[in-house]
Amino acid sequence: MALWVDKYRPRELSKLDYHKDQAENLRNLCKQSDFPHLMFYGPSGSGKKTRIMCLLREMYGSGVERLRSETMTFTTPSNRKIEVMTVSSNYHLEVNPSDAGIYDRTVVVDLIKQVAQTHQIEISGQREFKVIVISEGDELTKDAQHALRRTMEKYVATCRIIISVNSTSRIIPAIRSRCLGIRVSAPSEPEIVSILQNTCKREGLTLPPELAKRLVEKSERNLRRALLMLEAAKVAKVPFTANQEIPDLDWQAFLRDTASQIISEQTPAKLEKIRERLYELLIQGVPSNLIFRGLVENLVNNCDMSIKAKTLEFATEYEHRMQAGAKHIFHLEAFVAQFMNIYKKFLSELVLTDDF
Amino acid sequence: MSARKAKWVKCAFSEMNLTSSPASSGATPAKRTRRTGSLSELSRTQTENSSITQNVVDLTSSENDEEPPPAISENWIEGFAPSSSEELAVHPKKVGEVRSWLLHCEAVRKKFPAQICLLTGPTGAGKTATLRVLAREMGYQVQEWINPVDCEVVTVLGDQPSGSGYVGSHFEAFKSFLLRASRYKSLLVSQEKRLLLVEDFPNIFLGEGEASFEELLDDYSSYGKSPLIFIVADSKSRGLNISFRLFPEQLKAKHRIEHITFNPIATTIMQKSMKSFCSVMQKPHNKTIYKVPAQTVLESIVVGAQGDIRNALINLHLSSLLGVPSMPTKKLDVSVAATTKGRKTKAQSTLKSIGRDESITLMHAMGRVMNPKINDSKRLQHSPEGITESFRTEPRNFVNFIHANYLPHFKDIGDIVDAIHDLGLADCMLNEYRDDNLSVMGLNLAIRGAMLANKEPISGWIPVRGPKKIQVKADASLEEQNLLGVRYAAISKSLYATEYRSMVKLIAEKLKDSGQTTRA
Amino acid sequence: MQAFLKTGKSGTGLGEKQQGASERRKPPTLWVEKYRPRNVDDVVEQSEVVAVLRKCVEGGDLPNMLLYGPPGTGKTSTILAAGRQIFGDMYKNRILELNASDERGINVVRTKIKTFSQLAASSVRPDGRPCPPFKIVILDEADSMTHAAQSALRRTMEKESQSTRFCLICNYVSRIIVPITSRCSKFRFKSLGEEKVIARLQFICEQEGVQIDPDAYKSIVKISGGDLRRAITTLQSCFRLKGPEHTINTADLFEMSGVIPDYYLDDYLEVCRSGDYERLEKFVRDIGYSAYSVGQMMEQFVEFIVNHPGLNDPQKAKICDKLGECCFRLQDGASEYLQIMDLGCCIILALK
Repeated sequence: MALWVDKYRPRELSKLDYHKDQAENLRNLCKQSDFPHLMFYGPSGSGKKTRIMCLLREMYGSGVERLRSETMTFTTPSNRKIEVMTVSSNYHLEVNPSDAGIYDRTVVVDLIKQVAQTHQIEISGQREFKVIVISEGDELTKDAQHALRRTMEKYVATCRIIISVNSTSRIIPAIRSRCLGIRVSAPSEPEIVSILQNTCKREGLTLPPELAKRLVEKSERNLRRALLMLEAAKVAKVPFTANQEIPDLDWQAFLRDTASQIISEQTPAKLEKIRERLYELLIQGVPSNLIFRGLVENLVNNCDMSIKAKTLEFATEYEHRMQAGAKHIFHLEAFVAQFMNIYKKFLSELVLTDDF
Repeated sequence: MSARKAKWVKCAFSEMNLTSSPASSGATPAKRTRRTGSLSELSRTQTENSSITQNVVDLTSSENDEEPPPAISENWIEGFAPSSSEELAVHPKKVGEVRSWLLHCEAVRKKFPAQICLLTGPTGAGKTATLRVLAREMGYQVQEWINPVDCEVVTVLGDQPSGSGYVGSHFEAFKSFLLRASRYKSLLVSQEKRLLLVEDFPNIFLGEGEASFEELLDDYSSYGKSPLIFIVADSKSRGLNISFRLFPEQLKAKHRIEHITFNPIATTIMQKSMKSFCSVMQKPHNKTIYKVPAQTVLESIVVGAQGDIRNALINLHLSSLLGVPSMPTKKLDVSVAATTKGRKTKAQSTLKSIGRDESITLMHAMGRVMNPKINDSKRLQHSPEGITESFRTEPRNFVNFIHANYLPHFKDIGDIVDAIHDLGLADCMLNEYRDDNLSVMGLNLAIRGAMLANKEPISGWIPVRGPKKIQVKADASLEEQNLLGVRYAAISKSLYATEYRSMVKLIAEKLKDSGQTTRA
Repeated sequence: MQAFLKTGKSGTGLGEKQQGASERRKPPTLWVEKYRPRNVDDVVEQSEVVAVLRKCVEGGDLPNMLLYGPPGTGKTSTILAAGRQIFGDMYKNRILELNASDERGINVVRTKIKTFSQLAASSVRPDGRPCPPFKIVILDEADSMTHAAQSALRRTMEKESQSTRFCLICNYVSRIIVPITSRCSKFRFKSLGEEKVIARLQFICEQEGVQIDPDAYKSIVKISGGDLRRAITTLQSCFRLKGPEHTINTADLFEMSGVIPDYYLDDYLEVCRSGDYERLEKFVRDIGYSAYSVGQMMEQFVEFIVNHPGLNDPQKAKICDKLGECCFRLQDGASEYLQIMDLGCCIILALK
């Protein structure tokens, strides 16, 4: 029993649904004896991981699909134990160091060392290097990135690194210049529609075009989200109907609601309630920069341009500070307070002008 | 430096010559405690020696003079210990409570000899002193348990004790102390009545030994032969609070443990006892050591001690200990004047140097920050620096407290903007670990921000809340994990929360339902 | 993990095996290394430096040197070429090259560099021909050395001046402590001109059999900004990715290097000019979907704004002010979406 996202994930470069030219390029890359470090970049749900797996399969054969998950333990210099989950095959290892928080440096360095110091003993039929896939590389701290750069150079003989990032902005230039960048843009709307239709066909369902269109709109061109939504909708109701309800991402709905509460009342007491809601989101594990973005998107709707500009100015300022600070709630709260303040002033000015 | 050292060596030799000379013994003060006799003699000879060599080299003499020889017995504090229940600085009511408990023990001694009592209270409230004085007055011999530094038990077979055996032995030793000490009296002591005192809890109980401790008390109340007293000082954190952890209510009820709580010593009583300490100091044999400090210093000591008499006494001791007053060196006088003067000025302000470590508690400080008082000269009554100073060891904690509590005190959203702006900045500064000063600056900024931003504070009682700790919710449920299979391990927590959770939850629930229905 | 560390036995076909084995024989070469100049006269541009060095090489001696200038202008190549010419086949033994990726703390300076420089260098080769009696220590990317390490170097430089020449290479001479700069003769490397870069690239393409659109050369120069190493690397990566049959064109190169096509910048400004927040939001989302880096975009946008004919100076000033701030925040890891929205709003207000 697997989710549709995994079940219908293309396994080979030649079977990818979109960016076919790029797939061809990747195959070219595999044909050569040498192989550079790679950096796949693109928005969430655009198929980076799928492409990486296809690429690995192209290089090593179907052996890379025999996956196992393992929990590795690392010890930080301060003698703290951190556990990180990894997924690996005989040829590659996939790790997500962002869960290690500020200890990601240790994870990156130790992991690569462990992997890279073991040569492939049986060299026939294989490449002489293994591949380490680092997902969400843009969440790595600067410190970890510098460490990564050193280790990349040091162990270039025995391992290659594939980094998957959402945006290259957060990657230090030293790493950017050492990797071959592969841009994976989000699939276009028609592409998503056709993938959804195909999936339904293989499941023996029919998908009304209207529903498909709504799914695409709701998924924000995120293919993974679209497929998950489709499956969740199927669970709720089959056969599909054109106007059937599509389940919401609950944190987005929660955030929308929070924003409308901020608009409705601007008092310290309300701010306190908002704080509780923000805590709730953080506890759910929603990253704070997404909360920031969601708040801004939902808040600016019914303001005029000057308020919008001001809101964004504050948002950028506090979001930037949040990166430097440790308590994200402080900065989220500061932004909400600022917005309440300007919005309140804006409202009172409205009342004044109405009087005249 | 080398020159000085050379002189030192020289001194040592000349001193040897001097000690043998009989001329030096004339000026020795007559009365001295046994231990210190030789010491003071030595030091005196040193000073005399230095006065002799003074014209030769100034360096050594000043060095010796700056540090007056410690001509006090090691247990000087005992000199000030109360000798009778009247002298106790504890409130008479509490003394009465303890006395009546002891009387009660006496009354039921034949029938229920194993009475248990628990004395709690802040440090330096006079718990131990009260007990010792009363025990002496009522003719009890106090037998105290002191944790053995090392107790290796070699078993009958001569094996080395194993790791677990070691822990056990500690516990065993304590147990046998409790059960035996009350039964068999020492050959050397004639007193009939004995009293067991446990102040020093065996380490094993400090961890997770509640159950075994309860067992022990069960045993004791059935076999013990003397009253047993536990003395526990209050501590701030609950985890370390022995009275809270080891003596739950049901246990107290079960063994009818008398629980007597001591309060911090009141200022008036403290002042009174300070006076009596001073009079002790003026006694002839102490006069050589102490100079009675000025009244202002006394007052500041009392304020700074905050009801801790031991602390007050130590401060008194240090502030009046000025070396032998008869020593007529000029340099010494100057330095003494400087120190006393310095102390006076400090005493009038906040008395940092001889106050207790945290002279204001967290709650207290929160109140000051949340309800800032502006005095007549338009300045803050409690300076932010003062508050910063007392929390500089844990700035992060205090800032979190401010954040958790500041909102209800504000009336206007515009004021909040300023306050939270500063808090945010403080957070960034605290996060900068490379510079120590920055954390103090950050704390100061947060405190100032919260105090000054609030133009019209809401007064009234608002409960203080602790800061919230964010614990990111645990991973997906088992069903959800199964759905994702092996790939689950490669999905980060945040990605799971944003992209997967809402949908996968729906799918997994449905699956579970359908699974149940098919099975049914 | 253990299983992963072990070699997988599940294998691939026999044919692949043989192929893999034969491939391993020839280690892949980077064109950057392959086409490094072999002697000083091959060095592209930098005529003054070359003139001085040529004299030195003829005389068989070198001063202590500090080479500085923008990346990819041939600093490392020049000194390596000079070394090769002076020492010939003894080149390997006589040169110690350390770059930023090697450990270069104060300890290395004290041990590795010191030991190397204390070795005596004979003035005759094994075959009896004369050879300059000194060695060269090359410290690449010297501006990333700590000041402590640099100070430690100072003493070694002086003491071992008999037998060792030091050559420091850096981008910014201001990061090198003065006592060291004063002990070296300084050579400044200029940015390479477009023609020179193109000429070099053309030479490489001929040698390697790369099919390339003539216009694409200019694009490479634009992407690399006068950095020859980057230009060659870009070319090689593109060649690798596309395969030998493909004719490399401008679009491929831009795609490869992540440079944002100019029409995006035009559109962005146009959207801002319209003053419509919704349109701006949609546009920003589209950039996000297209996976282009906002940081890269802002970098290109600076030049775009500065040279834009349709804006007056106060507007440019306002926009650039914000642009600087946004770039700075992006560097610190702030959210791309918020930054570019903020910039957009600022431009909208500035253009009003």
